Amino acid sequence: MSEHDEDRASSEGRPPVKERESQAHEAPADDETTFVLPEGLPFQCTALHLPQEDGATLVIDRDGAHVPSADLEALREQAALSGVLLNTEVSD
Amino acid sequence: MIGDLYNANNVVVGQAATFFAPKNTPLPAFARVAPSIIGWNQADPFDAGFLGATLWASGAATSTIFTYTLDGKAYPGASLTVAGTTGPLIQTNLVNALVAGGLSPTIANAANVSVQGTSPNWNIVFRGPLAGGVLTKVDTGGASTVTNPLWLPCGATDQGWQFGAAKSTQSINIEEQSTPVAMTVTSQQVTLAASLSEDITRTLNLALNAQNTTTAPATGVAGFDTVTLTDTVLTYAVAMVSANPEGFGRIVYAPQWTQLANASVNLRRASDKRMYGVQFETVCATNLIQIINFTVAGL
Repeated sequence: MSEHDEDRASSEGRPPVKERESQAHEAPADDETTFVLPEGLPFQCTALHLPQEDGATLVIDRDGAHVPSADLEALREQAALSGVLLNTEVSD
Repeated sequence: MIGDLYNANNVVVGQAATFFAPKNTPLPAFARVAPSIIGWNQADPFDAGFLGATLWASGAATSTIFTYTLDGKAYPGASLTVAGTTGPLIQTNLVNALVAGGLSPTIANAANVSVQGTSPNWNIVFRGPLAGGVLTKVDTGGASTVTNPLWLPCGATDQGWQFGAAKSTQSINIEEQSTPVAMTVTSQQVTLAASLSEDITRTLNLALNAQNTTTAPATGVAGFDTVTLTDTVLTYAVAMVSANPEGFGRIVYAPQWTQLANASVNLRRASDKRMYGVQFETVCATNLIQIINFTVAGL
């Protein structure tokens, strides 16, 4: 990205690309999520969907996902019914 | 698991069981075959133990709670102390969990749950009606590792498996001689074909070149699998296990196969079962297609 592009990105209210990339690799700003990986997914299975009471669905694919820490134990039990262990890789 | 074998004068009548895994998955180490025959039941090569063992590395964990999930039901066990544990203790822990969860001891017993190995590495095999589940664990005091088997059984079939190696050849002739002076192989098609008769998600994925997502059950929402077809060709490692005249196992293995056969399934009320035709075809170098023929028991 050229300096011109950086300036334009800043003027549009978006952070420059470098800054945005670094944010993407950090843990989320709020520390109330836990990063989990699914274990026990058969290799033909690409993702585990966890329906929530509010109608939303948490999708955990093979690359893992952030889930609300407060819900982790309930989500673990829910996932276990489908034979999948939610493995905590990074806990904030 | 599958019927008995009969052999006389090197004529063997017997069936085969086929397993599949992600492409390029190697066979388990043969060192597990001998001398203690961990995970490999030479009396019954079709037994799931060799390709279907779950590995537990107890690592630094001080205690572990196993949960075995079978057909959507979880069977949590009691806390297992890692220090000083033995195969029989792990076996008892798992059997007790299954019985406590409501399974009959005629199914949940030591015959269907075998544990072999030495600390810290254990091979756990769920056999017969207990096969096909997933073992998970929660550790305290350190981490252990559960590795569920990558190999999955293709399951029951209509008329067994058919192994084929069809070659297309080219004769090289010269004018001065009536018979060919050379023969070349222009193409070769190595196949494993069957009609799968277990109408489950795994079969649908295989038969339709598909993958699935799993939706866990929630309050008021049933758990389900969503099978999604794809034009992207899926590639598998496939191993077909059978027996040989010596009574030992034989494995036909190649690391890369496709399954793109046409599916045509009859759904009948009573006169027949549903069958999904599959034909695995190798898409790897010829010398990667191997047949391992066990001939002598381990020392």
